[in-house]
Amino acid sequence: MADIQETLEGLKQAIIDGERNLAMKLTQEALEQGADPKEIVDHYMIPALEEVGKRFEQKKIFIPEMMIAAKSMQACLDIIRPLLPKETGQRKGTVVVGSVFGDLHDIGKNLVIMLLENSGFEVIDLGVNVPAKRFVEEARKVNADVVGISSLLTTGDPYVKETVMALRESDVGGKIKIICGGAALTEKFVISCGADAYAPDAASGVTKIKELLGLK
Amino acid sequence: MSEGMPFKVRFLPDGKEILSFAPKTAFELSMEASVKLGSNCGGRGKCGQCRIIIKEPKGVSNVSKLEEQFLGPLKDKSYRLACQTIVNGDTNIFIPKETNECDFQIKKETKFKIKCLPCISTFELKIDSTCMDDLLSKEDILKKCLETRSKHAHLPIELLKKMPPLFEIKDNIVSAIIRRDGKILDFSKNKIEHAYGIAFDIGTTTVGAYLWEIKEGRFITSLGALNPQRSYGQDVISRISYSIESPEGLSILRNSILNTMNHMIERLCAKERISKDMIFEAVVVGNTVMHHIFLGLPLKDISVAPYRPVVAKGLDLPAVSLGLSLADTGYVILPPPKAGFLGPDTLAAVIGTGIHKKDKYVLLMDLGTNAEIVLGNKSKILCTSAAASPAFEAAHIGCGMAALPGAIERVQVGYKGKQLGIKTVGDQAPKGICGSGVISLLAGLLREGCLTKTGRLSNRLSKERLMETYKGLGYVLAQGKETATGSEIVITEKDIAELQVAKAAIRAGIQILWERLGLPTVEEIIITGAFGSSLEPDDLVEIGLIPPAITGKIRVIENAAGIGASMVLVNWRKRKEIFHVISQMEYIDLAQQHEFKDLFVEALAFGRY
Repeated sequence: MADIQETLEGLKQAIIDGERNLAMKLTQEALEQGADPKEIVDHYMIPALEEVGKRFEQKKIFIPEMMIAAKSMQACLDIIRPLLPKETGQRKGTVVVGSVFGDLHDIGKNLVIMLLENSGFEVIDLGVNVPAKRFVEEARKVNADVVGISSLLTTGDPYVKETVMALRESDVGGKIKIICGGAALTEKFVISCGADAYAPDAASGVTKIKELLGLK
Repeated sequence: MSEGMPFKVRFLPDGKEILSFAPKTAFELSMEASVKLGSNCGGRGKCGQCRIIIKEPKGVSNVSKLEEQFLGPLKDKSYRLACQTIVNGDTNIFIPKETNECDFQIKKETKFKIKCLPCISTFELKIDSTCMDDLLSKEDILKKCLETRSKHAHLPIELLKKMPPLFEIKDNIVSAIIRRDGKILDFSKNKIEHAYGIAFDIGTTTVGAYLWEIKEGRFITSLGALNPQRSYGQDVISRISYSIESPEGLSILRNSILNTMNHMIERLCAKERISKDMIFEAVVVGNTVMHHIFLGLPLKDISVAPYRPVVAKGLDLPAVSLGLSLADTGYVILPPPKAGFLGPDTLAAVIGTGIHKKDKYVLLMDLGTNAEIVLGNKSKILCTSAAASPAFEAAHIGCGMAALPGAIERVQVGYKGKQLGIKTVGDQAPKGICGSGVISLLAGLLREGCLTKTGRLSNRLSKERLMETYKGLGYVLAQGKETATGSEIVITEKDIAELQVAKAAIRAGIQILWERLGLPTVEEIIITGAFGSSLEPDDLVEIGLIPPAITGKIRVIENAAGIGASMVLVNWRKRKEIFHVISQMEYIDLAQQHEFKDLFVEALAFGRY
């Protein structure tokens, strides 16, 4: 009988290496060996993705490996999710995320959402091509702590500005933290629009969000 | 230097001077002074190409961190980046040779085997007394005389402006040029021997012009030039941004391409000793953004999803209304775009390669600055644009350039990644690497086991080829002493990651089109675009751009769009076919296909699969 520990360590490494099929196989094996689903997620899968995020931030790996690892993680999560108990624990905060009006890109946004959820945040995904109004409505409705705006094309600049201004001028403007992300934006531009922070990619996005809320 | 006092900036070696009243970047000042400065990102600080030399930095800002990163050791030789240098006092700015771009080069002779069915014909007409009704206008009289020749004869106003008085041509024989639709293009007292036309392909990076004799249908010569809009952005997205951000942006972009096209016409006329007044038709194709800019159509609609073009039908407009220097009576034919990111150039490429008439399936890829994919045959044609997916704006690699002189177009990789040789366009000293060069490099490294499937440089690589840069680990293509710029040409792991993203989008696009058509056998694969002609077909399979199952014969055609545009110019059947072909083509928006994301991630890996 193979060691559960070995299987779980193998699973963690498989996610980091982006070996999706191996990771899925090891997830099944771990479950069959009696591992606790929540433990698999909290102690092996999340740390795996955090490790990937850290390496990405350190520029040791790049977008392709990040995406492949994220996909592997997603595939394993899909296996485990039905077995997880309902979430009752404290959430670190509520984050509303969406791709700005006119932009259909969502890989970066989806990575951020995955990392945030696994870090203990409540995340509302507004999807892509989201008008400014919608960001404001949702932020108000769920009493958001942070609003994340993703933009991957330079043609999105005016809509990023419009969205940030609409949020600031609304009744939630004083309370929420606004972060903008995406390779086409710059820190200077984003701050000048009135946002609190900028992140060039998903991993640093999560770090910045935690910073903005004064968390670890 | 007190506020508001003007200062003088002189650009060398030209000697152009400009007076400025406020601090501006050297880049902005160069544009104001109409001094040509090479740039790939339009002054956004992303490409490092706008290198200048300032020997006395008294009136300029200090070297920024960004400049240090891009310039490296060059900053000690007084080099600066024009877009990052703020000028606030009298300054001399020297533009080094490699930053100064020469615009025109003659393309190598393109051999055309196009069946010509001329769209114009000449005939002789006698205006005799029987037509000369006292109560009729000149135009009516001419029309009456032309009735026997063509019921739909139309005399454009430009023609009427320059026609000699009726009493001078009465009872004489005049020659005329008539289009199939009845428009009269010219009247002459002399016999009309020749008439000319030009097919233009406005690419994002290069512009091609093909001069034809259109009375008989004979190819004469071609000419290539760089698209000057590159100063405002390397890719279509940054040019769209430019047109939106600045109130005159669109007209600046439009004027710059018109000037280039008119210069090309001048050059062609001088070379062939003809007058522009003998050029009666032009066919203009390009991607949808180039098409819109040429026409002066606004780009805001196209800039956001669903990327809607303003116009999607073919146009036939008087040259004078567009500012293109043809004969005053000349016309410009503009085939339609299919979608926001699938333009008239792709339609022209389909016509040029004849996919719409073939029994066998053909895969056509235009891998120029953008990436269009077409798969089909006479029954059905699917098309898509990989650039309009997450790969958009991703393929900006540091040392990348179009297939112009100095571009490395082929690399032979030896054991442990050591190089056996590089081949550059024009055999000039290397300046950068173009598409075909990149593909041959990656394929070579993969075969030698020096590149992993995830895109990392492996430790099998010989140390002499490795270099740590501020962007990470890189493979040295050429040492500083071998290059045109003096700095080494390095491709980093980060660059390779960007290429993986572009490759994955194209591969996923090919797979989706192929699956939609039921996985047919593809007999022929055609690659076109300013890609570099030294493309080895197996390299495309080695890096995983094309699935091995699509093993048709692979060939590279230098400009399928130019061929198609030429066909539209000299073959009236092809002109009619435009409407049928565009209706036959079905555009697939990759971003909306739910399987695209998974296929995309899977296609990130290098290798044969």
